[in-house]
Amino acid sequence: MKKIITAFMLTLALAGALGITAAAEDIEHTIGENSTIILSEPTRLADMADVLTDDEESSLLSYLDEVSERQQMDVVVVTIDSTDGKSLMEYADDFYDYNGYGFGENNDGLLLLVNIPDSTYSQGNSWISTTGYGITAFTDEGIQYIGRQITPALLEGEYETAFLEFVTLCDDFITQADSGTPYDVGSLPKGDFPLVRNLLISLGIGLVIALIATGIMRAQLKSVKSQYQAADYVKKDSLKVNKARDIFLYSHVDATEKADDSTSGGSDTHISSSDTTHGGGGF
Amino acid sequence: MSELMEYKCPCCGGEIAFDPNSQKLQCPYCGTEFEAEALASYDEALNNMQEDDMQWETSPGSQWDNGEADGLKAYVCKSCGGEIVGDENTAATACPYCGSPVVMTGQFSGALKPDYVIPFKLDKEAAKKALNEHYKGKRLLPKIFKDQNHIDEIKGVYVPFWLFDADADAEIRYKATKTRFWSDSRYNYTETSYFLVMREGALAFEHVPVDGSTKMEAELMESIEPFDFSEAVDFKTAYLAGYMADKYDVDAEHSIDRANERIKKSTEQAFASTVIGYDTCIPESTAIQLNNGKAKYALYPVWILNTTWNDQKYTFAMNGQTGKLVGDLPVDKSAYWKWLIGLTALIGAVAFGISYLLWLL
Repeated sequence: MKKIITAFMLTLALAGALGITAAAEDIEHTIGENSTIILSEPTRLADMADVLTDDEESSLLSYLDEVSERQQMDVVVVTIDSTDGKSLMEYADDFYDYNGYGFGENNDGLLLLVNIPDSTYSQGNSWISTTGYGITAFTDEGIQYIGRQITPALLEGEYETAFLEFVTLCDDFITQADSGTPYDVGSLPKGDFPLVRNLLISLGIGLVIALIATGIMRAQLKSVKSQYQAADYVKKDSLKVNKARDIFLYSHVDATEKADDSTSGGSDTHISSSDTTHGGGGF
Repeated sequence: MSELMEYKCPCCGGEIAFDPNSQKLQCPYCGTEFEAEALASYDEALNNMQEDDMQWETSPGSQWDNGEADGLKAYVCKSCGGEIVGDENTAATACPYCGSPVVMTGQFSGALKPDYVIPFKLDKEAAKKALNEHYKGKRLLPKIFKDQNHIDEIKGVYVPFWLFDADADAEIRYKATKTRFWSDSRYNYTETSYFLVMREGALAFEHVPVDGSTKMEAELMESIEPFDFSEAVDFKTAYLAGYMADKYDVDAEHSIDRANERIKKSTEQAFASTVIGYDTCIPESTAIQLNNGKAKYALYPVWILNTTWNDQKYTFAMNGQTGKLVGDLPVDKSAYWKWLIGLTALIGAVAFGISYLLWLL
């Protein structure tokens, strides 16, 4: 009896160390170190929350592969329905590290992790983890910019649209970084020209200035007005100040905290559990 | 009974009037000029001659019914015998029949005699020119108003003014603040210091004018200020020849409030200008006493121009001494809207273009 129990325990321990093949949704994986999911077949798209159809998956995957190979940087999209108690950052970093993503000696690449519990996405459940050249190409501000672009589609549940947009943006970001100046504070890609908004604001400015100008023109027509003072009739040099006293009463000091405008650009980095340096940010 | 005075040229008998360009009496017929210095004696001489006409003039008013003639006075023109009807304040006018300038010297006798007069320096042509200048550069003035520029009436009027002299003693308290800004690595600091500022002193005013005639709008008269009193001369009726004049119908006591208001305001301003080095300064209490108040009676030269447009009367007044002309003008409504919409579109387009350029950068 004792032997059986020992053998069972040993099997469990081995399973924990080596990983057992198990089927979570459709994706073959084992559980590796630090309870990280290790994919049996490495792929740049792991739709573990199963929010994409097979057709969507294959077209998105071929796009990911195409961009990654061309840019020599892994662009990975992962969806999950639970973080297994980890933070988004830890989950994304470990997934990237233990699945062996990345080009070159610095493991250049980035991973978009989207947590969709109960098939509904809510704000703040996404994380982009960057590694190697990815840290350079995707600055903190750049990651927030990508977040602003794809969050609306994620919230709408249009995951395919969001991910395709993400890949397109990654392609653009990497190309921009190759030119020497990655998108960063003050140099983010421009969105569409806000035509209607700018037109309305411009007309508003025009109206205010026109009202002032025509107001001056109208005022020119009116020249009859009372005099309120008699400064023209002051006897020359007759102003005599006999007593002048300036008494200090009190003073008080207001201290207001300085606005934190230390958005200096660049990427903050941290070390993941496998001693790899990552950048990244959530949105 | 009032006396009437006409100025006849001693050479040819023509009616003579005061000429602002030469500052002399001039006969338009034979061109003879009379020095300003001679005016006083000429006045006197004419006044003496007046005695003979006294009986001659006593009868006319007697046929008026009681009350009917209230506010009216009739004179007989000594050139043509025509009847000149003026109101009770008319002091100088022209005969409606023959155009002879007449001065009702009775309006200036005794206590009614003005102390000073500023003679006209600018003539009728200057007033017309000033009006044309007044129309210029005003984009919203209806074009048709400019083009149909018919002046209905243009008259030189000596307007009665009360001139107030006063010494103002002021005691003013202000609450003033100074602010200082600095900052360290974490905070921005604003230090506000409060001060009680007191000023005591005196300020003298000379010849603050107040319109003494109800016929002239006070606002219009204040608009053409200031008059330069240094050019005022002792009053002589001869200066009035050729112009209209009224005697005052608002007395000094009723005019003084207006002068006080203005003196008070100016005193406050003058003392506030001695409170320097502060960021804000608000008067807390003001006590101003006026001493040695004196009122003088003077006639100031004003050109009045009237035009009518679209059944509305427009009155302009020009300072006969400085040439300052004022008068409200009508607004061309359609031009206003054109300008407003046009400017909005133009500036809007420019702003839009700039916003696009900024976006491109």
